[in-house]
Amino acid sequence: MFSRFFVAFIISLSFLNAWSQSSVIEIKNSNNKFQFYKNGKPYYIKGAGAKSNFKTIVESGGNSIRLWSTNKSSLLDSAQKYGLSVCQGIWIAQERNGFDYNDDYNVKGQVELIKKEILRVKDHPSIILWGIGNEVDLKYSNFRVWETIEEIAKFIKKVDPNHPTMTVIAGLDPAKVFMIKKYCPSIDILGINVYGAIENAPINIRRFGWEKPYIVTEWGVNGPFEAKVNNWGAKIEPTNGFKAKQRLRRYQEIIEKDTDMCLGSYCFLWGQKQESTSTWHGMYLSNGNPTEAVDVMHYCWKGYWPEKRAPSIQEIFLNGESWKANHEFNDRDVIELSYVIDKYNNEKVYLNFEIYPETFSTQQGGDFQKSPKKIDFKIINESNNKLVLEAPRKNGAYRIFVFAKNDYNQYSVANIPFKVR
Amino acid sequence: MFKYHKIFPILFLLFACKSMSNVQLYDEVGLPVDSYESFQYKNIFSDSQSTGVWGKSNSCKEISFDTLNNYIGSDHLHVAWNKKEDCKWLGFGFKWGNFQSKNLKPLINSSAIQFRIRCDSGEFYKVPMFFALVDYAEKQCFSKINLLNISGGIIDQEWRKVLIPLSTFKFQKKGVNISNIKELRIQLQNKGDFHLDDIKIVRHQHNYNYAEKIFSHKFSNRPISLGTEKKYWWGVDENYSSNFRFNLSTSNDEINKLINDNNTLPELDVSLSLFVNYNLTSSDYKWNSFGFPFNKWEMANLSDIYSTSALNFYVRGNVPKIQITLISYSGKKRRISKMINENNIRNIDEDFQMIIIPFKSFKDFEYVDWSNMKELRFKILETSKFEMGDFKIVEFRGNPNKPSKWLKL
Repeated sequence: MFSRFFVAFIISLSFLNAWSQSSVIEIKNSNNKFQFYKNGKPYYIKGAGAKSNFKTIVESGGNSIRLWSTNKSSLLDSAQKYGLSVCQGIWIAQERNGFDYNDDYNVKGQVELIKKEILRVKDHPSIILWGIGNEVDLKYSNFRVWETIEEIAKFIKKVDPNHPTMTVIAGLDPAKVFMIKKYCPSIDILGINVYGAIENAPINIRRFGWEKPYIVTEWGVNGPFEAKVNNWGAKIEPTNGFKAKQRLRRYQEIIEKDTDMCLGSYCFLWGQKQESTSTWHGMYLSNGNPTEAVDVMHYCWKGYWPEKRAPSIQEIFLNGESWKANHEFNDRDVIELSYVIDKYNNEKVYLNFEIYPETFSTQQGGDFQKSPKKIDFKIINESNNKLVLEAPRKNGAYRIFVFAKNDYNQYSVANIPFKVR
Repeated sequence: MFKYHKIFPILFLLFACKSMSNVQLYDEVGLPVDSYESFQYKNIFSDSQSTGVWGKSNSCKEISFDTLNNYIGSDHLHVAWNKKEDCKWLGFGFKWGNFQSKNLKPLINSSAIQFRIRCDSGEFYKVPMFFALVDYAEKQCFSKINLLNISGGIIDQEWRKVLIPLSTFKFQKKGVNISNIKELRIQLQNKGDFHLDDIKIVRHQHNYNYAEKIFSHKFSNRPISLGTEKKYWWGVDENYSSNFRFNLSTSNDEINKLINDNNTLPELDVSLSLFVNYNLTSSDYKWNSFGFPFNKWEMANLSDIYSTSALNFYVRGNVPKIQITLISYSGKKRRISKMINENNIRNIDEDFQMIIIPFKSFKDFEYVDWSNMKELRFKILETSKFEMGDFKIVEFRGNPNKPSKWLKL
C-alpha cells in the first residue's frame, strides 16, 4: 500500500518537474549589444528550419529548430529528445491566401484559436521563443494584420513571460519595420527571412530603424524568386557546389559577424520541398538523404568538416555550355552532359541522371507547389564525367538533374533547364 | 307615412355604413412575410431516412450512419478521413430538399447552418472541414467552423452546437447565385474523425462587423510636401553613421536673414533639411542611402497626377551623383530609378540649386502601380558635402527630359 502511494508520489513529482523545466529566456541589452540568455547562460542560436532529421542537426553542432506552426506537437517532444530548443511558430493567416483582416469574425476567431494553442504548448521545455506569423507581409495591403500580431504577442507576455516574442517578415523593408514598431510594441525580436537580401541585412536592419535584436529566421542560397530566368522563363538554379560556398560565406561573414544585434539564425531548409525545383532550398533530397549543404552547416557550427563528406558538383554543362546559358535542342538531338565534381575524401562517387518537365510555378513565399513526375529518356553513352543522351521527343521545357553520391548516401545535385523545339 | 319617411334614411345609412365597411380604399398591405418561417428547406440532415447523403467511402474517407448515441433521429453521420497524396476530392454532400432550388437570399443576414458535432476521444477546437454552398452552375462559396461559434468553445465527446452564419459564405466574391442553391457540401482536409447530426437552417443574428479600413490616400492637388516629419525617415541615425544628419538651421547668413524664428530654410518652408557629408573612402561608405514615404508608410495614390508631376527639392552645395528610386507597394514593376543629370538642375544662385525630376522621366514609369506608391529612396554615389530639403511633388507639364527649361523661377 505504502509503496503504491510512494510510486504515485514520485510520478506526480516528476510530472511537476517536467512542467517546471520550461526554459527561462532573457534578452539583455548592454549599450545596444543584445545577448540571448537561456536559463541564465548566454545562448547563441545555431538553428535550422526543420521538421525531421533532428539527430543530424545535433551531430552537426546545431542547437535549435524553427517550427512554423503548432500543428504537430510531437515535434516538440522529438526536439526535446535530441536536446534541441524550439522557436515555436504560430501560424497567422496570410492575406495573400485569402484571409480578410477587415472581417472581425474571422480575425477574432483566429485570435481565440491561437490563444488556445499557446496555452496548450507554452510550458513545453524545448520552447525558447515564439515566432508569431511567417511572412504575413508578403504581397499584403491590409496593415491590420499587425494588430493581430500585437494581440497575440501581448497575450504571450501575459501568460508566458519567460519566452520572448518574435514576428517573422519576408525580407527587410523600412515600411515593415515602421509598421511593426508602430503597431507591435510587444514584439521583442524581429525575425527576417532573407535569401539574396541577407547580403545587406545587418546594415539595413540598422538604417531602417529597428532598435531591438533580430534573428535570421530563414537563410540559405538565393531563392527562386531572385533567380535569373532563361529565354523561356525557367529559373536558373546554381549547382550544389556553388550553393555550398555561398552558404558558408553568408554564415561566416554576415550572420556570425553581427554580434551586437543578431541573436542567431535558422538555416533553410533542413529537409526537402518543391520550390521551383525539388532541390532549390532543401538540404535533403526527396529520397531522405542529405546533400552537401548539411556538411556546410557542420562546418559553420562546429568549425570543421564532418569526417564523411558528400561529394560536390561544382559545374555542369550541356554541349560544353554552362548552367547559366540557354540550351535549346531539336527533338531527339544528341546532347552531351558534362560535369565537374570534387570527390573530397570519397573513393567512389555514384551518379544518377533524371529529367523532369519544367514547372513554371508562380506560387510565392514558400506556398505549396506540386512536384512534377520524372520522364524517361534515352542514354546513348556514359563515360567519365560525361553523359550522352537523346533529347526528349516531345516539345517543351525540361530540366536535367545530376545526382552524385558517396558510399554513405550523401549527395550533391545540379541541374540545367533546357528546351526541346 | 311621415314616421317611415323619417326612419328610412336612418335605416339606409345604417345598412349603407355596414356595407361600406367592406370597401378597401387602398391596396392591401400584408403583414411582413417571415422569410425564415416561409423557407421550406430548413432541415438539411436529421437521419439517413429523411435526408440522403452522397459521397461514397473510399481509402481516404469513411462515411457511415452510426445508430449509437444520436442527437436526433434514428442515426447520425460518422465521418473519418485521412488525406493522402493519391486522394482526389475529399468530401460529401447532402441531397438537401431533394436538390430542389433554394433561395437563401432573404435569409442570408438572419440565418445560419446549425449542426451538432462530437468526437470519440480527445478535444478539438478546429476541424479541417469546409462547408460549401453550391448553385446550379456548380459554383461554390465556402465557410468553415469558427471557434467563436462552437458552443463551449471545444469539440469533445458531448454533442456540441456549431453555427455557421450564412453571411460568412462569400457568395458574391465567388459569383455564386445564392437565390438558386442546389446543395450543401462538406469538403475535408488533412485528417479527422467526427460525428455530425441535426444539420439545419436556424435563425441567427451575426453580430460581427466588417470594417474596411483604408490605408491609402488619393492625392489630387499639388504641391505635396514630402519628408516633413523625421519619424518617417530611414537611413539617418548618427549612432551608426554621421553621413546624414538632420539640419534644423542653415549656415547661410543670407538665407538666415530671411528665415523666421523656426530656423527654417526659407525656400523650403519646412523646419527640416538633411545635411550630407559622404566620403566614398570612409569605413561607413555603405551607409549611403536614405528615404521617406509618400504617405506615412501607407499607400499614396498618385494615379491622377503622376503624369503631370515632378519631384522637386533644393540643394545647397554641389549636386553629386544621386540615384533616386521610387517604390510602389504593388505591381509587376515596383521600383523605378533615375540618376539626377544637369537637365534636372536649375541654379538659383552660386550655391543653391533647385532640382526637378518629372515622374515621366523615370525609365519604365508606365509599368509602376501609381495608385499604391510607397517611398522615395536617395542613394549618394560619390564623395560630397551638401544640404538638401524641401521635398515636394509639384505640377510639371513640360518636356520630361529637359525639365529645368520649363521652370519659371
